[in-house]
Amino acid sequence: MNKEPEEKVKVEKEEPETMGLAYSIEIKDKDGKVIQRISGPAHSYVRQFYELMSVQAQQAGLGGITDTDGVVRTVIAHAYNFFCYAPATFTLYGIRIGKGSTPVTISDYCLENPLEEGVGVDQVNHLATTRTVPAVVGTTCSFDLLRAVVNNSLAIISNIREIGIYMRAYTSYYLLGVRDIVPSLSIPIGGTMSVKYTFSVTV
Amino acid sequence: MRIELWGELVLEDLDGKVLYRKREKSRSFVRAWLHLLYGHITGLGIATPDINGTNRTIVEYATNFQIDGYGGTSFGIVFGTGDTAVDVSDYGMEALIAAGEAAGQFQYCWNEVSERVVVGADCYFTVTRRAFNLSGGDITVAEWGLYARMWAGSNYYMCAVRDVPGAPLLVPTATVLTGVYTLKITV
Repeated sequence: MNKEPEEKVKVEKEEPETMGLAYSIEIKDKDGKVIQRISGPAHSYVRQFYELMSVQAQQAGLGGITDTDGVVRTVIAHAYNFFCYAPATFTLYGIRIGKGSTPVTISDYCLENPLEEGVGVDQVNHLATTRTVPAVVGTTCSFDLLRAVVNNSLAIISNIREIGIYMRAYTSYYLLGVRDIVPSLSIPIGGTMSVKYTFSVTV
Repeated sequence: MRIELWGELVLEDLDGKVLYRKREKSRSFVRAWLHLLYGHITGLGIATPDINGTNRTIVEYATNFQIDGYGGTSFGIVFGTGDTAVDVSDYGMEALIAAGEAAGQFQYCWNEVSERVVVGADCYFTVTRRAFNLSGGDITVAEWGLYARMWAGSNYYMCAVRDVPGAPLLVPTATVLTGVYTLKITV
């Protein structure tokens, strides 16, 4: 029998933008019971996303792009630009979560305090990314990008405050494309946290 | 933080005197644009209509999204005479204004994509294109938009944006129409 989640919070609702991005987060305990859900519009494209877009549109190299290690790179148009469909355990690109709570700025280039892959303190096991295929409903076309992490450490991971997307650029650079600050969340021991980003266009 | 697309149309005579100018927010990214983004984000192919309505399985590729360059009416800013309301599944202009100097045609110029600009809490880049009416007659523009290059085993082109302004714009002969799209994020 399906059980109602203990908490369901709708963070906010806004008029859709022509190019929209929204997130939803679901946390389950070790038995698979949903214990928290939140969702809302993402406010979080950062400059690297636009820099990649301008590189592709212009088909020219662009310098001054800061990667997730804080190193300034020159990026050219490339097939790998924007790629973030990360396999299991992979953290160089893909959806990430963290404990940083500093408000997003347009020039953020990484999560403030990302959780690393592992089973130690404040570490999580990252599962493979999944997605839905773009589909049209009414005046909107959208697809989802989803990734779950599992807390296989020996303690609750609390104060999770940020989520985001690391993207591949050129052959082996990695850029922050999206960062969001969310309400404080916790993953129980053995629990999972699933982050879903929904990309959309609306006319 | 919001992602916004703004469109501006400027009509001038051949001496540069501005006859008309209007800037408004666009709501008209269409499906193919999202498909191309999906292809790059996931690395997975997806059937996408080209600007002629033929489905092509697009894949990630270096030249995807190209707008900068001449492009004829294959990529960049294009204009049309169709006034049917925008649908998210539109794959092209309803009635494209062809390139040339014959009746009902525009002489399209180079598409210029700026580098990204960061000013305070904004980050943006622009796409600009001029089109001359040297046809000897009036042309009424009712739609405009943005085409981009996409790869599906060879080069094809897709519609990223289609806009139908509230009122059609009469473009007399011996004038130049400039379209500017600004893609912007704002904190």
